[in-house]
Amino acid sequence: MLRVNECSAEYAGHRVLDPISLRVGPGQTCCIVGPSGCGKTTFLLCAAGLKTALAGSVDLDGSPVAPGDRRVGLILQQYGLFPWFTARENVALGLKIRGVASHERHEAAEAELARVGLAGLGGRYPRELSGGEQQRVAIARSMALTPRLLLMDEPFSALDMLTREALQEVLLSSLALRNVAVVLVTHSIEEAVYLGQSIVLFAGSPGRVVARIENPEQGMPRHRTKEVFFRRCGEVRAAMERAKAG
Amino acid sequence: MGRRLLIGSMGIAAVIGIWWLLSALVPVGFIPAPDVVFLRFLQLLPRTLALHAAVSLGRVAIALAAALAIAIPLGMAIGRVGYLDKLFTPVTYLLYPIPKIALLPLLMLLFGLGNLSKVLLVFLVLFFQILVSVRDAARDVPTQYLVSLKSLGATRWQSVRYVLMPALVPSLLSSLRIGTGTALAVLFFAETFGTTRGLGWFVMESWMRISYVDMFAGILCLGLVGLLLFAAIDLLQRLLCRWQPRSGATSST
Repeated sequence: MLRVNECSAEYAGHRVLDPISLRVGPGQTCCIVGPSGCGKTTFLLCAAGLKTALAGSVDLDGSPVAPGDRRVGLILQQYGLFPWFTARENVALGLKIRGVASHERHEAAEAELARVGLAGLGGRYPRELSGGEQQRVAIARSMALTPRLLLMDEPFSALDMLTREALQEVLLSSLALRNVAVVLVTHSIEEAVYLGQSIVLFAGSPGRVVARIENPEQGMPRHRTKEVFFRRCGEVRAAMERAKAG
Repeated sequence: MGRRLLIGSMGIAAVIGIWWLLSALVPVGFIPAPDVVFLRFLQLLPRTLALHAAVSLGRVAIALAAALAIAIPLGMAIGRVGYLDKLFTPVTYLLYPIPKIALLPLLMLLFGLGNLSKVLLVFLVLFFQILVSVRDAARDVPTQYLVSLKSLGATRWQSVRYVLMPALVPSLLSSLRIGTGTALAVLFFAETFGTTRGLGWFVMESWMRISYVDMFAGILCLGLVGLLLFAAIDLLQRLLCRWQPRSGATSST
């Protein structure tokens, strides 16, 4: 369980985040939606322990999250993969840092790559992969570390619509049975509704939570084609427009 | 590869052709014909030129090793640590443009006429070249890479090893390419003072003896030493930068 308690942050002396609280249980996905510059990425970095919060606390399963916390996986929009490592080496890097033996980490990397549909492509460098394939590698890299919390910062925003939807399926199948708490930042309302059991709307500067929308239908078969999906998208859009109007 | 070799051979053949033409046009043997020089080069290589080339290469190698050992960590530190950047960058900008060859008299006064002053001179040429390019490359490493690695639990040393070092290799090799050419030119000049070993000394001594064939054999040897060094840098580039697209290639994304 991720517990963020009244976490606020500043950047270069400017307040970028008002106190924010959030709970995400194991196996749950929380999507954060909001306009650019409302502190979504800062919030994610605080949750990852990579940015010190001005006040408040971030706990995972009852203990504070520290910088480079091994229970936390982070997937970024771009530059997440290292271009000088092959896909296999990228996936195995976290395991290498943790001191896992060479053959074990390569086996684990190949298995994770196969799970995201990249079997046989482990020897390719990122530049030899498409944008979608690169994000599959990023997902495989995070999953190889069996995180308790997965944080994703607009992971699919640079992809075309069909690739993005395919990657959403890859993510859901990767998360299935893993019991990972997920926080995903996105600009896409459809993505938030398709992936998140809960949707949190950020707005303002400094950023604050302006709405929380539960989405219990998430994960139902053919969710994207159901009427409830479109209705929920409408709710989120309306909440965003209200926030924008003031 | 074969095509590349063919085009390269054509370029060299053109240079030899022009050389031949000049040797025929310029009177009194100032420019001996290539075949005469090649023959003399082969005669001198085993006992004379190989020794001088080894001495010159040794001086460059020591200077290069010292420059790499100091400039890489210092450049990385200046590129990534704000106060070190503020401290060292003005000094670097002051010293970098000074023609290092102008320091040769001072180096000779301080460190004598022997090898040390020559090695130090080449060191200074390479050091600033490497320092500036490593600093810029370290500065340009996207922070996202470091954040991404930190999120995997990496230590500071692991960030250097897995992000900074690989990221700056292409710039480092480019700076080596530029620096090596300058270093050889500077070394040639330095070897004309206070030594009887090295290709610089051999070329100048041949000139004094009015032996233009020997002089050209020495110049040819100097060129081949340069070729060897550039080939080694290209090989390193191929080995260490396989992840980079070859020039002219496009990304598949």
